[in-house]
Amino acid sequence: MHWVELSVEAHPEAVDAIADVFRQHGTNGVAVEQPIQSHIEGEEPPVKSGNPVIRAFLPANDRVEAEISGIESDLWHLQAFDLSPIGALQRRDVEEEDWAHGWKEHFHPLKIGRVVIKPSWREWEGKPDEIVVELDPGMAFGTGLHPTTRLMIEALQDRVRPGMEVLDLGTGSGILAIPAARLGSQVTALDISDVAVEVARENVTINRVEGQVSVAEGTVEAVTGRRFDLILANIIASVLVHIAPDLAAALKPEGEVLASGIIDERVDLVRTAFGDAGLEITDATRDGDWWLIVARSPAA
Amino acid sequence: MAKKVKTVITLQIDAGKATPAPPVGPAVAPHINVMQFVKEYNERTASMAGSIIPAEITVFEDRSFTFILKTPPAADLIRKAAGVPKGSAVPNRDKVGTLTREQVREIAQTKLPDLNATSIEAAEKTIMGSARSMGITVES
Repeated sequence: MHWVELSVEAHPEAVDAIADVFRQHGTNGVAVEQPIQSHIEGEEPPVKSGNPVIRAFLPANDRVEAEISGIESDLWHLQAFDLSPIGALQRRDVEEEDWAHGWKEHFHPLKIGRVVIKPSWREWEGKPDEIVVELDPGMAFGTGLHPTTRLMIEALQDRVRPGMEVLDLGTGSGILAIPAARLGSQVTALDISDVAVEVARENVTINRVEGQVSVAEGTVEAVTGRRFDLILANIIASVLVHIAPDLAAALKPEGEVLASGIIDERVDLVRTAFGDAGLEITDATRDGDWWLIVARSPAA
Repeated sequence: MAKKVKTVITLQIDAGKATPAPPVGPAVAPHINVMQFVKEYNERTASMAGSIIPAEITVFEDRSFTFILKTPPAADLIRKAAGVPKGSAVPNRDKVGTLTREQVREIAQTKLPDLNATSIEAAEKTIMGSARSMGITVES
């Protein structure tokens, strides 16, 4: 099947009206590209000149020319309502592609120490000492891992021992809980997002570690009274500072917490809060702007 | 954990009915895991079937993404309130319906979080402008 892509650049206030014109002429929704420049999440994007581009697609059948004329005429009428500037209607022929699968070629397995994170559609000849975890990139991670995830995976493989009790706070996709389970520990994985809990459960099942990982919605308060050998907390500095006493209370004597999600300028705040909670900082590593801190609870 | 944003794409599509076909596939497949988006979108919007629920997708440099749902487009709300299946093809000549001031206010309130408006009055003005551009008059 062939498609005709129609696009028009227009003032932001005209976007809804133009989208509606496209929809009235049989396009199945529209895509609007915002004129932004690459920037760091949470910061103001640098101003890029230009207006949004509204894009829609029509099947290239015998009605397509009539629909396009109708769209051109409707857009012309819109100009009378102060919604200008509305740019000229651009058209381009598009071949049908395997949109459902074509994106997969960009994603490859990622190896961090002995742990290999493998997309479900990739083959990986695992060596005996490797821990292969099947996880599909998407919302949690993409073609690479966030530096904090990488730091956590590196650190946990040196510390997790069979039979340990591990708490994973902010489990997300389960990207830390699953390797920890594959290294032989029993993991309690928590997240405050119900979407994350569902995704983590699916991934736990795919990796066949249901017997070792229990996933639930909640914060560290959900495990009040329980004590763990190791806590994985890849969250953010402000939360780590806030929950430092709870982390200390949830550790067995000489238990360790691996804390990350800490940006350079906040690392001292976390160190201080952990110290105040009675934890001893035993190690700290960094990757770019991000830190991982290892802290230990006192002996009994 | 801050990541570098590559692009932001908004899809105006029917709640609960996303597929990898256009416009979703060609718009996002060059950037992200299309199937995960489709599945997540349909799950989050299943209860809103019958409405157009825009999704604003933030794509990061490493091809991971997040998205948030927006309020339905003004035109969709206006059509439903006026009880007309479509807007006028010649909006300044052929009028196809009317909205009351109360309906305008209701739509403005729904849309306020997503409009570039500082007050409900400014939002109402935007909605009235959109209604006129569809050949729908507003009772004064």
